[in-house]
Parts: sequence; C-alpha cells; structure tokens
Amino acid sequence: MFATFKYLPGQSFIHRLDPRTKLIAAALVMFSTIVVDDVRVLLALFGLTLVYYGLARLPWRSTWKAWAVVAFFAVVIIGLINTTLFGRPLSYITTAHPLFSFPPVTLPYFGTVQRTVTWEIAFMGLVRMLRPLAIMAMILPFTFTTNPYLYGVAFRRFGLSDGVAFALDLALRYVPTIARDFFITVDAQRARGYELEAKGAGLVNMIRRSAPLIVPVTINAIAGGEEVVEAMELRAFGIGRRTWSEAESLRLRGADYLVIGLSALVLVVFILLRNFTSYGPYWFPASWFE
Amino acid sequence: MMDKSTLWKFGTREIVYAAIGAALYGVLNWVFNNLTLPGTTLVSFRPPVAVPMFMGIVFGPLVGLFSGFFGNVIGDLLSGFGFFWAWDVGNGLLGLIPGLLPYVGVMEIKTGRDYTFAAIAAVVASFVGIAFPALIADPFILRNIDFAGAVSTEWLPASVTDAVNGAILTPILLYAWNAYRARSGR
Repeated sequence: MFATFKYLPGQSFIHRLDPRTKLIAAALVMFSTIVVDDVRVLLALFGLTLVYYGLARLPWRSTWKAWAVVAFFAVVIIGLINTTLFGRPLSYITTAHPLFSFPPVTLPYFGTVQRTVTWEIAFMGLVRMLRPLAIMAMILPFTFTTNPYLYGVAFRRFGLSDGVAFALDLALRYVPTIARDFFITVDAQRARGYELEAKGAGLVNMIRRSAPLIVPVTINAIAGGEEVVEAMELRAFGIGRRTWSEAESLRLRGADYLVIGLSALVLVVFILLRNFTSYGPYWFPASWFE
Repeated sequence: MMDKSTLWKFGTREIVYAAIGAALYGVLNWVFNNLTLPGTTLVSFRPPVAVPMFMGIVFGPLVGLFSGFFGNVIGDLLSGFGFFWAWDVGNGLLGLIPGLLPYVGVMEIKTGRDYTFAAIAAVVASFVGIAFPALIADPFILRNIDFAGAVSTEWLPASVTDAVNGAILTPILLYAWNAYRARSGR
C-alpha cells in the first residue's frame, strides 16, 4: 500500500491557477456562505461553486469519497439528526407549519414532551446543508489540482515564516518514508505473532494493541531526526533568509486576479443583499403552505 | 528537559521534529482510516491522536501544534477528503495543550506522577481541543449546526474517543521514548 497524495496533474483552468488563488477563493466563498441565510441565494452560490469545480475537470472516481464524507455530514448529521432533533427557526420567525411530529415521550423532570418539526425548521436545515457542500466544491479543486510540493512555498508567499513553510515542505517529503516504515513494522510484528484484528477484546484493549504498531514507528522516525537537525545546522540553516527555488513559478496572473476578483465580488454582493434587500436574510415561502 | 524559557522556541530542531510529527500523524491517520478492523463498525478508532500529544510534551507546544494541525491536513490530503480547517485547528490544540505541562510544574516525564499528569493533559486536550471545531466553529462561525446538536453528534463522540486513545497511548509513547533515550545516551 503506497501513501500517495491525491494530486492529479492536469492542464485545466483550475490547475493553472496559483495555489494562493484557490485558497483565497475558497475562503471568500466560505465567508459568503456565512453571510446569508436565504436558501435561494445559497442554491445560486452552490451552482456557481459547482461551475468552479467543473472547471477543474476532476474524475468522479477520484473525488467520490470526499463527496460521500461531506454528503454524510450535510444530509445525515446536519439534515436528519441536528435539524430533526435540535433545529429551531430563527427568533423572528413567527409562523409554524408542521411537517411531522414525533410521538409524545415522557421524561423525568420534563414531563411529556412532543417534538414537532416544522417547514420553517426544515428550510433552516436546508440552508445549513448547503454550506458545507458549497465549501467542499471550492476545496476539492485545491486538493486535487495543487502539487503538494508547492504548499511550502505557497505558504511562504502568504507571509508565513521560512521555518514554518520549510517544516511543511519537509513533512510532505517525509510521508513516503514513514508510510514505508509503517508497513515494514506491520509485517515484522505479524511475523512475531501480533494480530491487530483479534476480536472480542473491547475498545481499551484494541487501543493498547495498536501500540506495537504506533510506538516503534514513532520512535524510529524521531530517532532519525537528530541527524537531520545536525545536517541542517552544518549547512547554516536559519542563519539568513531562505531562497525558495520554486518561488519563481508562483506568480499571480490574469486568471488569478479574475478568480479572486469574482470571489470577492460574490462576497460583497452577498453582504449588500443581506443588508439592503430581502434576498439575504432567512426566507420562507409561507404562501406555499397556506 | 523542557523549561519555560525555551518552551516557545521554534529553531532548527523544532522545525525538524514538527515536520516528523506532522508526517507521522498524517500517515497514521490515513492508515487507521483505511484499515478495516473487523468488529469495529460502530467504534471510531483513533489511536494516532497520541502522536501530536506526545510531540507537544517532548518537544514543546509549538511542535505539538504543528504536528496536530498539519498532520491532520496531510492525513486528509492522503485520504482525498479535502480541508476541514476548523478540525485542523482542533487537532493542533490537541498537540499544543499537553505541551503546556511545564506551566504546572512537570518539566520532564520521569515518575509515575509525571505519567499521570501526561495522561490527564491528554484528556484535557481532547475535550478542549475538539471544543473549537465542534462547539465554536461549526455552530457559531460556519453556522452548520445547532449547539445542542454539536454537543451530541460532534463534541462528545470525538473528544471521548480522543481522550481514551490519548490517555492510554501517550504515556506508553513517553515510556518508550524514555527507554530509547536511556539506551542511546541522549
């Protein structure tokens, strides 16, 4: 089993954007989802983010797992569990159109309670479901179209220190080595009769049984670190500013400014919609249910 | 041995160990997310959470913070899940908080009392660290979920799992580290 990043090289419009552009655009869209509570506006935003996602031309077989995770969170956790059991309409909503009710339940100290889910609560739940979906449509292109070995220099160009950016770069380069050491350890422990999959032992024993895998890999990885420290210090690491050889390849171009500009425009429009029109605050079509 | 004057240093040594910690946490998260463990369908199994806690205690809170934050990013990159920035911050806190043990007088992990403090720090880090994404970011910043729902579906399951994993495995890692140091003369 090889530890490989999910980066998919390509030449799509999104591939050719600077990594900083993709992160900034994702952040601006994230803020946009928070500003409004109107399901119509969020559906439109979700449509725009799907267009952005489509421009990356990512194959479904590579991204279905990520979509499954966020869909589970959006539909099951937010939609079914949270909205149904805990959801409440915003305080200024005065209407209540019942959707369904749970059977009455008698609780100690609370007496008999009956939870009724209204259409107003359901619309609020739909708004909340759309937020992580829209954000994921912006994040996945970053993950799959950005070479991980550009993360360090991208974060450096964001203003992070040389040390932090270099540590991130070094961490990514350590990944294949540590993955290889882990699977060697698994084989070595199995040869000694170790069984991770032994059944019927309870959670605490299962955690303790993971120690023969985690402990040797961790100690071995750290033990090798001291030599790397000495090698870096012998090469005067940290004495002066570091030169990043990939820095020249990271330059904002016209397409980057276009994407950042459009994302910022969306945020500004949403703020204006929220504060000056009826299209930003929570919307509920009461007339549909009369 | 940690002391308060050098606790927040981030020099060459800290950079290298932060990188190792992040790579370790990322790879182990990816492995344990993808290994099928018979009989564990209903149990979330997160033993790697002890790695940033261990790194924070041994190498300082900044190394723990980096290991947790970027380790979670790397784990998600390897799994192809995308970024969940609030949970990356929460995992960073899982590494930072145990690194603050010198402020309660635990400079080095040697005695049974020190190992107990390390286990307690792991439990505290789990509940406080996971509180950021579950109780602050999701309900109030990202506005995905009600607070009551966040407590029952996110905070309690995640922090209890991390607390049990951290309380058991962090002292084991510290014990193994002390044994290695004694043998190698470090």
